[in-house]
Amino acid sequence: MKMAGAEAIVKSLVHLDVKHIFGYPGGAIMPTYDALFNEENLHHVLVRHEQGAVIAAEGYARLSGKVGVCIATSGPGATNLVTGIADAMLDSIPIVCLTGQVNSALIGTDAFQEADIVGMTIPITKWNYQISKASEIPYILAKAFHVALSGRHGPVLIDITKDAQQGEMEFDIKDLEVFIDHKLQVLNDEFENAAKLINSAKKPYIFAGHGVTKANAENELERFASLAGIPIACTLHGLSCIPMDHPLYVGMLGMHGNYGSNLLTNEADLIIAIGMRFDDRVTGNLNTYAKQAKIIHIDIDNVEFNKNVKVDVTICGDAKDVLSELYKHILPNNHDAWIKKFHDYYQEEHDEVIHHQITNQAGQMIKMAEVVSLLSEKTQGNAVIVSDVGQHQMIAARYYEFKYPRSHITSGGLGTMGYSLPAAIGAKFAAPKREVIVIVGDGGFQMNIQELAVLTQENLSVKIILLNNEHLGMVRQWQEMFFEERYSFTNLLNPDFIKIAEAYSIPGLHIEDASDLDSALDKLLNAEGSFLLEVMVEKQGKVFPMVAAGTGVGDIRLK
Amino acid sequence: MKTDLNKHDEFVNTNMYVLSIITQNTLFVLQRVAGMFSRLRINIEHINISRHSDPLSYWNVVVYSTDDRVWLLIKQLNKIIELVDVKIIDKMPMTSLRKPVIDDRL
Ligand SMILES: Cc1ncc(C[n+]2csc(CCOP(=O)(O)OP(=O)(O)O)c2C)c(N)n1
Repeated sequence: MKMAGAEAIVKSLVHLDVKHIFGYPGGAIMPTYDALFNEENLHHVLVRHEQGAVIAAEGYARLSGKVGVCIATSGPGATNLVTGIADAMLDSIPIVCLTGQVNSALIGTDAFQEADIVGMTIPITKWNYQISKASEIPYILAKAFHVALSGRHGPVLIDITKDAQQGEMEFDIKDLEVFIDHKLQVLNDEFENAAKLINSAKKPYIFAGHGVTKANAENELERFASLAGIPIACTLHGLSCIPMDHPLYVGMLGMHGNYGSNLLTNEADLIIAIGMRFDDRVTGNLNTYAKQAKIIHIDIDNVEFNKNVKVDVTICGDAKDVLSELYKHILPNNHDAWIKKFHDYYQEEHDEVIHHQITNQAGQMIKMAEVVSLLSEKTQGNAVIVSDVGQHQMIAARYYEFKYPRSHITSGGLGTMGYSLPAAIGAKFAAPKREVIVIVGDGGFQMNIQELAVLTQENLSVKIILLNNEHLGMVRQWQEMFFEERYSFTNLLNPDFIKIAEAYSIPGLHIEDASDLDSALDKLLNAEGSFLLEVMVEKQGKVFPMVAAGTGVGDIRLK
Repeated sequence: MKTDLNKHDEFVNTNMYVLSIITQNTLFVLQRVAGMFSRLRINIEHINISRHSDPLSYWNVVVYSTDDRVWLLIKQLNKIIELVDVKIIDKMPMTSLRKPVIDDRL
């Protein structure tokens, strides 16, 4: 079938099962926008800033497990994507970004809105490519989707010159069907070595990371851990891969994770790390990290083996495949005395920290944890929580009791402020029936606040909880603890957020009193469409426990 | 004088590596490969790239580094879609490289 390149782009996307595409038009991508105009099978979401488009694509990908797609014009449109692409790279999110590019004849002439986006994004993409001939379109797009979703997931950018969009080509569906996913073959003796360690361990300990969710391996993880009676801690991105009320779940790892789950890292005799990468926020100082433990590392990307932490057995593969195979090699066991240690430490953490964080004494300002804990109760842990970056992010991760997989979406690796609102938009398109709740700080909200317009224009129901401490709280906490209380440029003189929401036709409610919290959350949850609840919270709040930068997991502080 | 000792260790662990790399001969491939070296702060001492009759480029690269770094580099290079092959074809300890210099002076 003969058609223009732009039409081939749209036909290819539809064939590749894309349902939603997040974008913003401009000169060099106009032919493709023209082709999108009449396409009924592809829903285009007009964001208000390209960073919103790429992060929405990430949110879509994280909830759906499919590739998220965004589209932008050349030059400023393309460079506005950069932060989101870097975010997707660090968190291994499968997205495909399409950018327009100036005419191939003009490339290299400093043409209007020309930017070398391919050169710029080499270090932050899994793959990128510039299409300059219409005939390349279907094959390259199919390859882009394949690369994004095979092996370790990641972002792909395809830059398409304007003449390639306008040129004529012969469209052949077969060009789109050349890629098949080859699963990694795992060697058997690795399973046997791993099983030997697992079967003889006295204090085995599972670390579950993002890879578990990515591989849809939640059931396999639960089955494996239950058989061998091994406690499970989650990384930030591993959260929600096991229900938090599960008897084997023992907490979150990392800088603001749970007390026992960090401390006992240095007591376990065997660590089984699944789909996690020993990020520095998880390990703290490596010189005092898990030196006593044997480590089995299961990951889809062999680059991660021995990168930060030296390990004893490595199994390279998809977590689902590996765990189902490993299951056959292990013996039933239980480690109740070992698991009890986690519970004892939890009790200590509860008495020292949690209890105070979630209860209000008369006259006190509301604390972030009170809000999240009550929200968790009211939603019975069923909602999708999309958090931004900062104190509220750690509080959301610590105090929401996740019950279902793919319920926690946040920017982990890059820590991109402004992530939550656009990511929630993408998430809502991926799972329209689920309750999607944004938890955001007053700093991060203002980084992509313009995307409120999308909620209105697309008639989406996203609930926003703004935890307003009138500060860049996380930075303020560090200034208080490590910079002698020199609060350098971290207090914010904020606008009236409720009026802003109203200007976008989104109803809102502002509360300051702890006594209003209960009914305010009901109002938020019962609202028909989107709703903004602004809660004024304690300004000097600090997140604890904490493994301070440079110290080890054994040095975790409760205050 | 612990730091000096550490420096010495580093020197003892440092080797000269000769890498042989085969890539597709495409736009941006030089940037992709070279970028991986600079991201890991591995300096390229010598590089030679040529295209043979097939559409592939053959690279010879000399670096000074350590086993750990070079293995990480190789694993990262393997992620480049346009990369066909990479291997270490020669490795020589820095200490052995230094000797002739000292011998010359004697
Ligand atoms: C784009 C970006 N800029 C700067 C930072 C550094 N940073 C990390 S947390 C934080 C404060 C966030 O403040 P706020 O959104 O109000 O949330 P809070 O910590 O008060 O809950 C800052 C500035 C970042 N992570 N991302």
